[in-house]
Amino acid sequence: MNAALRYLWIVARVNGLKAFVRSLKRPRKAFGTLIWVAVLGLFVLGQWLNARQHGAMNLVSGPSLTMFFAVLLVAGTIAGLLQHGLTFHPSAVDFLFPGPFSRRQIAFYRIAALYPITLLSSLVFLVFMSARVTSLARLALALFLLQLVALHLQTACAIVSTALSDHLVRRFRGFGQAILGILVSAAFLVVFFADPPQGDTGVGIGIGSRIVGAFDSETARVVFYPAVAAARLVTASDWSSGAWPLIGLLACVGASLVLAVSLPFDWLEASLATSERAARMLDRARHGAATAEPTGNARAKRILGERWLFAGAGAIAWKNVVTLLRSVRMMVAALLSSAIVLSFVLAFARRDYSSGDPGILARVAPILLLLPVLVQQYLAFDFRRDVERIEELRQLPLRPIVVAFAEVVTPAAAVFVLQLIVGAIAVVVSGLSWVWIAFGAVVLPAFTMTIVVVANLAFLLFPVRAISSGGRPNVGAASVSSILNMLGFGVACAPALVAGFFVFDQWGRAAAAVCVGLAVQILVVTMLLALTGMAFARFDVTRTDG
Amino acid sequence: MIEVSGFSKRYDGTQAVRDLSFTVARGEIIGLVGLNGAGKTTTLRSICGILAPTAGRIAVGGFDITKQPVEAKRRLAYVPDTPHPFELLTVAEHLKFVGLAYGVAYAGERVDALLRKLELHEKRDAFASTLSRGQQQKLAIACAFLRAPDALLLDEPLTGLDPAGMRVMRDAVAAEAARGAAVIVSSHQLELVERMCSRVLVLHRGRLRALGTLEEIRAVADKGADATLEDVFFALTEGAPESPTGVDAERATG
Repeated sequence: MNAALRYLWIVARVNGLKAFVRSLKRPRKAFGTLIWVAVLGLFVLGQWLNARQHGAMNLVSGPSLTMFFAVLLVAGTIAGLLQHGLTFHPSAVDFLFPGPFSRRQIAFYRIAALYPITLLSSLVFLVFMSARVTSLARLALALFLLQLVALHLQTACAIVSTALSDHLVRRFRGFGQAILGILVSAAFLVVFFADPPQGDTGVGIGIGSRIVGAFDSETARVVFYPAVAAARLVTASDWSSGAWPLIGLLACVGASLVLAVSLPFDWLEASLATSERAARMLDRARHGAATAEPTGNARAKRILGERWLFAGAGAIAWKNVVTLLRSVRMMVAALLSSAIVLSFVLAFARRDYSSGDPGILARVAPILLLLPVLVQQYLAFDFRRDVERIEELRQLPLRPIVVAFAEVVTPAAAVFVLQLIVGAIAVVVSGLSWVWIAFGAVVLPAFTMTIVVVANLAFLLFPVRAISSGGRPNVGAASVSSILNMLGFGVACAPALVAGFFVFDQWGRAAAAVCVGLAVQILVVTMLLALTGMAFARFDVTRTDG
Repeated sequence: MIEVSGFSKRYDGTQAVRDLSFTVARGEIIGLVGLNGAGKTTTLRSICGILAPTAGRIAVGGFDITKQPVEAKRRLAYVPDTPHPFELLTVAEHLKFVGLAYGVAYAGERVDALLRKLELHEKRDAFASTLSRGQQQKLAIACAFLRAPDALLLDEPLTGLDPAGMRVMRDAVAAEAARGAAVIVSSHQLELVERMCSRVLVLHRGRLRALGTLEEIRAVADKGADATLEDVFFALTEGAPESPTGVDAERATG
């Protein structure tokens, strides 16, 4: 590597590490990091205990590993083709593109800059698979080398895609993402509904034997050679029998790197456009806005018309509704993630209960209730996205509690609609009575509103942005905020639950218990709205963590 | 030093620049002016090799930017309109990186003087992310000046600078030109261009509208001797036809 680029690579990584260590002095960051370490530690412990219990039966098979590694390769290749050029940080664009560096040097720097992340993601996979192999060292090596091949292929595909027009790639990107989304969803449905786990289950998620078997064919061995070599390295009985797969894998790493940096395409211009687009998305995320760029012409007026509902404070809700309607991807993502979680829950519930059994409700109800927590990152069209506009909101001739209500009503309504859709799917799949949907339509709004209000109140009191000012995800701090939200929601719902149980215990009438509980919850949410209004009025606009 | 010949650039179905030709000699400061979307940044980015010309030839120091990009880029420095320093590098580390990249000294008296002149000497060990917008702009300028380039391209160089910073910047650019650098300054600040530049290039909708000294482009715009660059600029760009007029082809390339 060029001396200047080598210096840049080293200094940026060392300074980044120092900055991370320094950030641990902040209690929330330290706590968030601790939680992540604890979660991974618990997972390793669980894996280890499981391995002790099941012994050799627990070991992952070669074809399963080949399939898993092949998925990594294919995902990298598709991601590269959808990228159209390489994505660089704006500072790299400013200094490297007009600098005295060849395209090959810049491409290699870009690849090398991703090696630490590749190593880190290999470690994460290692944690998940550690108890299912005989040699941890061979698994670590195979994972890292295979991920390097995937990274090189992704880079090569991203460079090759610059030969296509940006317009074509953009169209293809949406189509490709949709296909990937459908495939992933279909895989979940097939795995959990059509092909239940049986004996050796691949990488621990019940992969069907027929799918796994396809990766043991001669064709697959040629097409996915790096994956086959990596799997053979992992399943080798010792280092000497794993030597040839290791040599093969190293050759793949070298060949893919040479391919990535030697492609004779002029990718700088396409990469500039891609990098600028990525920088705009990052900037929007940093400021709390949706990451998707608005495209096409505005049609809000046709969608919403001139409604009395959107007068006065309603204007804030109108603004949030318009933003929501223009963020279809967010809504699809929310619906998709809800559907995936629901498919898990229903799959397990159907094993334990027969169709139409109200017992299924005990599994589905908590999902519906906690859906806002799951999807709030997609539908937070409230104070969390307006954090840069707090001063403008304060200038409106409205009382703080009214502003607070107007801000939270849109995401609450959106989540409620989502709850009804997910609930309807659950009713159809599990054969439950539609009366439960009607019941949910009466009860859920107050609780959904509570979750959204608690999330906004917590945000105004302890603001955390998804992306820090340094452009890095605030994962640790965001984890702490999520936990605080959950605790806050539990505390906010406790009075209603206690009141409901008390009424039921005293008079034995479920309808009365529900009505009393609901009334208490509405009272609580009104009080929380008042508190949110106060927090909004006193919010220090200079105080945003990150 | 900088030769642009028949340069055209088209992307996303838009003709950003059309058949542009001009040269910038050593020691000359040329002002690039035009309305938003006129093609100024596209021209600068193409000269420094970030964008590939759709047609025409661009050379820096005799090296074709598309055929010998590394040699051409070694001779130029580009300061973009919005600075993006590496957030995790200090001021001194930026200078060291640039020094290593271009093979020039990144420490010593000359560097100290440069940092002092740009009022960055006290921020030498500060991370770029902690600098103000103006200080980041000064850092980008320091990185450009450190390597004493043969060709200097400045896109809105005074944005974010305070009045004192603006004066320092103007003097520094003049000093670079006096040293022998060919300088192109793209700016909306017409007063600055009028004061700093020996020639002005007016771009309008991607086409060369006029090129020459202020006196020469006054004549093109049919304006009197007391007309400012602003008067001339609006006369040339308001209701201007699609094709270039009044431009002497020989002057345009000289």
